[in-house]
Amino acid sequence: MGEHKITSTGSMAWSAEAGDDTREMMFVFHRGAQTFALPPTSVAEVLGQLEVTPVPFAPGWIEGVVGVRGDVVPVLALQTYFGLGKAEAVASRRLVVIRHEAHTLAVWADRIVGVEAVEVGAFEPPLGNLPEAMLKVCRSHFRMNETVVHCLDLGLLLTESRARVVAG
Amino acid sequence: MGREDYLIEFRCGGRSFAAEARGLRSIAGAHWRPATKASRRVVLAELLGLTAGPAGRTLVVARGQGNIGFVVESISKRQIERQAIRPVPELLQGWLRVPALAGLAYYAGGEGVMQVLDLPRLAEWVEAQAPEETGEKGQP
Repeated sequence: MGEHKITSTGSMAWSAEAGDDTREMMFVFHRGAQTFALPPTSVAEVLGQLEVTPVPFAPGWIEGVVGVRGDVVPVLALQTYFGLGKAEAVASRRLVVIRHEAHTLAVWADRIVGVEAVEVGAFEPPLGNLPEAMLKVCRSHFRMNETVVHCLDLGLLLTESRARVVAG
Repeated sequence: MGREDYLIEFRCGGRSFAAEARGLRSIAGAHWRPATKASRRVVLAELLGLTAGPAGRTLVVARGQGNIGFVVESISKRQIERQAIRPVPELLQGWLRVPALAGLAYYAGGEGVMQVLDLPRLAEWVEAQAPEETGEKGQP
């Protein structure tokens, strides 16, 4: 397992040994009742509490925008997007800033697990009982102890979210 | 600073917004009323899905043969330089149902992000929603 630490500025940094042919590194975090995973290379940084400015005419799953080092970053409410209800604002939550190609977005994490080395053979197709919106953007799942971890595909998430707006 | 170069800051629905001064025909009082059938008065907070506070001023935008007056709660004496506007991220732009956000500007030393509304474009959108309607308009 990799390790993560809180820096003096409240942001989080982590280090992880590189994956190899048998293991893949995944950044794991909890949000609401779900546990998600992302490739660590897509996680730009993890920040503490920031004020989110709501944006007019945005769908309900866009919580608003935050300013991160001169950039304006939209915050996507994962729980709402997946139709899992509105997640409570946990006091210890952190903002995970994610980069995919030229895009940057952020999502809240109630708790960061860290960077985990997952055996390649542990990845299985997404569970069939997921809400449709979640099923469309999950590429696989694995189990971490007894917890099911859903692996998000950021490319699909961005494509699907835009299609959802266009579809109204 | 010329009128072309600054943003005006205003309160609407209890929040701070900004708009480019050059996009406005005039700033009128709270009781501005449409003078012609081609004009209309819009409570901006309701249009944005916010709870409107007491009407304080009206930001009047020219639109076609008439004007559209956006009623807001107050206008700040502070002027923000136009260079402070940052573009709306492409990702966010693609998520918005109405392209009425001209940009975003930092305030309070970078701690907060203020939305810069594109009022002429919003006026265009308001008119497109109900071209025959006159008078007050609220939330879409």
